[in-house]
Amino acid sequence: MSMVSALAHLEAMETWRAVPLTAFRHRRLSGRPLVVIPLTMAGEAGAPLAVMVGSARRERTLLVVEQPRNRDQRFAFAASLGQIVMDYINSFRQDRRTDGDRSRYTDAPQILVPNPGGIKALADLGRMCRFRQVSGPYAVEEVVPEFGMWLTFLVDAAEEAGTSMLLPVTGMLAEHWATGQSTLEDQNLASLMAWISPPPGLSVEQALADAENPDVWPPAGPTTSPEFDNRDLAPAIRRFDTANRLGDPQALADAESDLRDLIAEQIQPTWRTMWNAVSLLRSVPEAPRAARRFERDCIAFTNYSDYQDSGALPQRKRDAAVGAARRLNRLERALADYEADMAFDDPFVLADRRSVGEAFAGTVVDAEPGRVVTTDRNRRVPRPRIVVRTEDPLRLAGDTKLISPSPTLPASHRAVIVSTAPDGAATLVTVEITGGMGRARVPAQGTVPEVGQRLAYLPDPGWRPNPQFPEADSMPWTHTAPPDGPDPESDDAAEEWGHD
Amino acid sequence: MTDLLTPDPAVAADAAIAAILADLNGTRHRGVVVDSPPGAGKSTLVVRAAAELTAGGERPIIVAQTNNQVDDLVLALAARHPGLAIGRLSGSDYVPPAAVNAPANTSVGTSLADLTGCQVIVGTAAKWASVRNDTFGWAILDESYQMRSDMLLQIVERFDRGLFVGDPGQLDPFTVVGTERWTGLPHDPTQNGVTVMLEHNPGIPVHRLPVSWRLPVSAAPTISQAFYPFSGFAAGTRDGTRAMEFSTAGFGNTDLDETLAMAFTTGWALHELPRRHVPRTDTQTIQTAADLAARLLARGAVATCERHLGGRPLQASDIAIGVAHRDQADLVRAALTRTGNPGAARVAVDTANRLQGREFEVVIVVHPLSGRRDATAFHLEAGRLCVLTSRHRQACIVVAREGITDLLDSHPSTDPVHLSVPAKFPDGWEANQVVLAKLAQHRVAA
Repeated sequence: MSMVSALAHLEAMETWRAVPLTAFRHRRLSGRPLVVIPLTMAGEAGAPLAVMVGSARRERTLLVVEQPRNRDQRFAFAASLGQIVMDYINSFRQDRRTDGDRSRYTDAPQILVPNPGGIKALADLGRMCRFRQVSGPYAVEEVVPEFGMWLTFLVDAAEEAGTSMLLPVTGMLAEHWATGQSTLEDQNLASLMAWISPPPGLSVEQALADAENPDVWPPAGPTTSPEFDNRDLAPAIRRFDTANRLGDPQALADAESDLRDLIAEQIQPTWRTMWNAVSLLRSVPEAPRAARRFERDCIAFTNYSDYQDSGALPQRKRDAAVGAARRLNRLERALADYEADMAFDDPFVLADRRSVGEAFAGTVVDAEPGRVVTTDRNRRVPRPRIVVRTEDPLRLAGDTKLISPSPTLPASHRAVIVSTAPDGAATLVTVEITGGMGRARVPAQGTVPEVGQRLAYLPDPGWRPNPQFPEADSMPWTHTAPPDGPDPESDDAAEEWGHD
Repeated sequence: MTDLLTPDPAVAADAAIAAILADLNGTRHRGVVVDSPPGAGKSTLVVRAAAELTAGGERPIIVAQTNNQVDDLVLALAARHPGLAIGRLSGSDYVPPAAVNAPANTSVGTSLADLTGCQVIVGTAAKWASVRNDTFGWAILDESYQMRSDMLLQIVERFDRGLFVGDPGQLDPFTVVGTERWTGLPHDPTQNGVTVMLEHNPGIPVHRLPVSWRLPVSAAPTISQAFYPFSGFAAGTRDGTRAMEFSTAGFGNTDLDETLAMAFTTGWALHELPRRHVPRTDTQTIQTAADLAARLLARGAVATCERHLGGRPLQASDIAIGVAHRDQADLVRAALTRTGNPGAARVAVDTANRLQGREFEVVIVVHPLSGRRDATAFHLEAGRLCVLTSRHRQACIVVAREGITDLLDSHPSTDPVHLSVPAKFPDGWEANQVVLAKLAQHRVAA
């Protein structure tokens, strides 16, 4: 934790209120997000118990698997949920804009879950659904495999920093607000909301005490409170099983509605909190560069839609060597870009980076605006140099490429650190300006900082060429694994399942 | 592991190198791996192997990880083999240091087309990844345990067969992306390239260099036992070859002098500060590390070794201070300035990651676990401690708060166990215990 965010957390603890960590909300919030609150059954990985889903506070649907160990019921549940989610996703596949020889949808779906555990639950559900067959033995409804593939696409996208198609709300809140509790406690939606906006009439302390009591605030899932499991859920499922075995329609209907009521009670408080959190997040201004990242989301969404339309295969169970290397590269680049974007947009984040020496701000104390050098190709280009005096604990080495978030400079401003020298407690940084000065021999007006001007610099995540990996069908000897059959043909549908 | 049957380490080392070169000339294997403990003559081996391959009509390429490593290799090759045409493949914004341009037999180019006349071409892995379509018979991959498997995948099509040289005991490559999706896969892209290659090619011969020319006889057994428990190595020098003496007498009898005397006579010292839980930026610990370096410089020392039999005065640049975190390094540099010693600025101060592959006479280590309340995987990592305690030719001084033993006892490794992930050896917890047990014999209470 850097100094600025550590201080914010301390301040939150001392004053008993959440302290903003960022000036902006760096995640896009869709005008019509789909809130999904999945619950799973304890004791079996990825066994869905229920879900509450809807794209408006008053438009909620509760789906329950009465006997989560029964696979037919599970897939009936997956089909119903899949239908809702696919309707939502398809509603974004209407408006398509052409841009050159490519076209893309102008909007993209956004699914919000309470916490990172919710993403894991959706990943498990996607894994359960995407390999199923719609004909033959153990056939499922047509929407199920498609839904599974889309879920997997969304979960994979969520791993990439800066994307907004599937997000945990606790993550969005904790990115903007520092609380006086630990990172782990920040994953509890109820206590996080208690810090940020306690219910009317309650102090943060009281709200926190409530948030930690599962009877007042049931957990936001995907796991349910063990107390609830033993006391209420297990007997209710047993009553359902008994009624099912006896074949008494009245008893079965009663048991079903009991079970639904029980689960609705558990999930409804979280539903309300989720929408409160969404309105709270909406009140925070969105960061300027979020729009650019959203465009990338739209492109990814369009590409995957088109792939689905052309008869998609389900995603692999495990990445192959080239796929894994490519994904790692993409994830690393996305993270670097997102961190630079945040610091570029947001003075709070910039201050945070400055406190650990990964960025600096200061005053120009010396300038050589007319400096010109001759390049290898014998061209004379302006390469002005400035000296910035900073009191930040600078830790950037020479030759670091820089961008500047200062509003007085053009966004295309590029520079490089030539050298650093201590000056008492401060540091003198000699910076050479390499870009953003226009095309003329002489830099355009206002593109070279003047003596006395205050400005900030941070490292340029830069452009890197796309790494070139071998073709998937000619894997080199260092990475060749024993061949394994294509995933869709495997015997998943017939594999042994947990006892019933 | 001192083997009494081979009294001369040079003979053992020559035998190992001969076996490696024989494997290079044989055509049975696509790859040869050489595990090298600290200071075992890895660069010498790379240079020899390159010369051997060119002599056999090959046109090998050499892949290193950083520009500095490439420069060092080019210089070593040019000096040892003046008749060899050496090419240095580099990025467009690389400015070669004067030394690289100086030898008549080296040339620098940004593409292979510039280097057609060269018999050996050296470049960083990142630069080789940008080369297309050319294929060479052999590649020598230096520091290959620090190269990630995804990088290896980008360059592997450039060569038919590879000699992988590296130190398995040092820090593994890492990624900032927190994902577990590849854990347990044989081709996990976050693993180092050698591990992944061996996973897919179990028949590849793995050689070990048996002698550390850097580590003194006082250090080799401990480092070998702690970090190379299965392979082991011996010191290349004998008892008494390496020695240090103060050139002045100390005024007063400070604990700093006591620690330095301990290090000078035994090769190890643990400068133990009073037990306290402190942040890693603890002023006292940091200042003590800086003061030890300054005191050493102020009193002056003469180091005797096989290279300088008559003794040589110790310079500031012969001393390094190793830490775990970058902010600690900054604070140590500031603390060195505060000591007022004119040479202090030339003392190398860096994190374990950046000290990898470097060599000094005396190394002062701020113990990664000093003053901590918990032992995280980062601070327990065997590679980190291995790098810090195996950079020295004469003596290693560890600065720590009392209580690390208790900390280790209350924090056994709790890393989750994953399916199909082999247990990692050496285990950081156990390696720490071995080093601590050794240091306990050289403890000076401050």
